Amino acid sequence: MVKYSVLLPTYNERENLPLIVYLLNRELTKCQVDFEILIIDDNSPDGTLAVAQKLQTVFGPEKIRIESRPGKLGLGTAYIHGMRFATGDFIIILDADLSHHPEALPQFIGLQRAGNYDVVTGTRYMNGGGVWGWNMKRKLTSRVANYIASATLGQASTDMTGSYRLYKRAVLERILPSMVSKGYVFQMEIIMRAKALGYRIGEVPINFVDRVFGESKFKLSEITGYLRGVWMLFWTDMKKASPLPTATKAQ
Amino acid sequence: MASRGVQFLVLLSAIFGMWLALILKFSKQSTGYVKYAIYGFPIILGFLFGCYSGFSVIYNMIIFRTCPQKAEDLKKDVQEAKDFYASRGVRFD
Repeated sequence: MVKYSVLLPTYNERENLPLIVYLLNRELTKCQVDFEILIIDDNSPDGTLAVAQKLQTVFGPEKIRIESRPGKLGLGTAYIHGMRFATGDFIIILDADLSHHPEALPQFIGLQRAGNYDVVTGTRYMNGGGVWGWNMKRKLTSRVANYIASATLGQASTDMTGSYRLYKRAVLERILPSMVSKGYVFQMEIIMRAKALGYRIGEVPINFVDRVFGESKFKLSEITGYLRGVWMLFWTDMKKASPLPTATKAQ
Repeated sequence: MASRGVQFLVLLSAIFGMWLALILKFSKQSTGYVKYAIYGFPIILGFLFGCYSGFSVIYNMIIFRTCPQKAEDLKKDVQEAKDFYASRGVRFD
């Protein structure tokens, strides 16, 4: 049976982790597929790891696997770390904070199968997609950021900064070792490289529910960090890759 | 294939080259509007691109959908998950 590995990097997600795991289990069971959820916790001080261990007793150690790391080492390396242990044929990546609802997964899996896509990416901008909890200013910022990326880097996806995706395992294994960016533009570099390498990219509409409404999440440092990232990618040859994939299938 | 930046520079130099050729060839003969159009070409191009960018961003911002129903659904799902754990006697604190 085809297997799906969900990579779930966490940092201080003790509240959300049981909720997202429950919903992932519900939706993937609906799809009647074999799956595992890999929790990659960066030694969260709030005790996320203990919660993960408890979840393991509820759903079983085959479904819930824990591959934690000693400290906060960032998202990019979390994926590389997770890939080392993932046993699935497909890799699913989503945010653990419930802004990405697992209810979209049957659509991701269905589209991938129907079109044999190499990557399926969620997009907030497609018909049927959307956001909740964003005011006009936040929407404008998001649109400007996406426009800048599409105009300068080429439109690899209608949602360049989206991070809710399904990959064929081989795609990530090929791309991850050649990644140059961290942080804000990491997801964008993956999709750009996928496009440059000729992989087929499908899109499904997603609804992004921002639960931390009211809190201004956009600081100046984030904007400059984003622009610096785009500028760096602008001068990066997306086809230049390390010749050999370093991540290998475990077991 | 080179980086987007290099591709962009190549395209820009090609356009600039053509523009320069156009000036050298025609600017002396032509008068009035044609002359303005030739000299002002980069400004016109920049202006049009700016207009397109502005309209595109604002239009897309306006059609960017808000989905309150999804937030409600999520609340229900959160409750469902909490009930599930409670029914199994699992506590996370």
